[in-house]
Amino acid sequence: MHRDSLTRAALRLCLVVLIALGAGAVASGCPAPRLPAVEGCTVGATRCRADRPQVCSSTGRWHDVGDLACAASGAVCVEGDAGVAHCALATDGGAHD
Amino acid sequence: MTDLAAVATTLRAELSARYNTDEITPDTWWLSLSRTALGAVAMIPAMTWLRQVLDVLDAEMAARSVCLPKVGGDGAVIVYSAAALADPIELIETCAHEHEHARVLKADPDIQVAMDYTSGELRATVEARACAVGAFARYLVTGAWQTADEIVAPLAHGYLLSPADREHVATLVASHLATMRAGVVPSLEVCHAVLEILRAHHPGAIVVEAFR
Repeated sequence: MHRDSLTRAALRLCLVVLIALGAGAVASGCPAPRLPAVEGCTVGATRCRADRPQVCSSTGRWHDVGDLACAASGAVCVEGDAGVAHCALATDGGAHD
Repeated sequence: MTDLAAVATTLRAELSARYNTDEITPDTWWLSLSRTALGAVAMIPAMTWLRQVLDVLDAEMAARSVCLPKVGGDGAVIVYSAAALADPIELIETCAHEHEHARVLKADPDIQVAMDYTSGELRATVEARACAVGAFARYLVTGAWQTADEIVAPLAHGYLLSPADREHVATLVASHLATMRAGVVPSLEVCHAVLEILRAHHPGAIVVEAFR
């Protein structure tokens, strides 16, 4: 019984700390997550933009697959007839942008 | 025969220097000491809750490596799990994976990175990139091909990703795999760094012809 009280007290303390941290973050103008704009794309679709493969998320946003353009790997972004957009050597297929 | 333990050691040192990371391992002295002290406190009958917390932490630290921002500074701290340290190939993959997280923290060392990680969708993107870097490093030294589902399987627990987010991770990783299959380095800075380090220090460790 005594242990249960201590456990509950510890959990309450954690909750208070979390709420305080959250309130502090909001009060200090904490930024929101940097989600890309909603574009209404088809979930799971892929494409090339600015020499970068992108994937459409469940909320209709395009996300860059990598942090570099394909050119950094000596390649170009390609949208295969089947399969996902990816980086490939220029001779492997047509470049799309 | 390449000594993969030596490859892992080089990769840890070189990536650590590039991305300003420190390491913590289960045998780091202050961690062992703290764990022993807390374990002793947890033996007090009224501290059952602490024993439960320590059990959870022990299980997590045995199985899962993490990358954390340095407090008040530039760079990151990588906490290697016992599982990662037990096998050189696991260690090479984990080291590469965690340094992708370190790259993000170095490039953007403010609270914004933490806020981004609160979004399931952005967390999925971040973890997909880290998984792809780890998979690329493993592929370079083993030549063994993994599917996207195999690569993202460890994200099923502990990352709070919805089924839709996990599907998103798999598609992102599938794109990197298609790039690798085409004989091209994935469009991730840390993949380039890993390949550069291996070519410079252990060229014989690269078993995939296209990347030698």
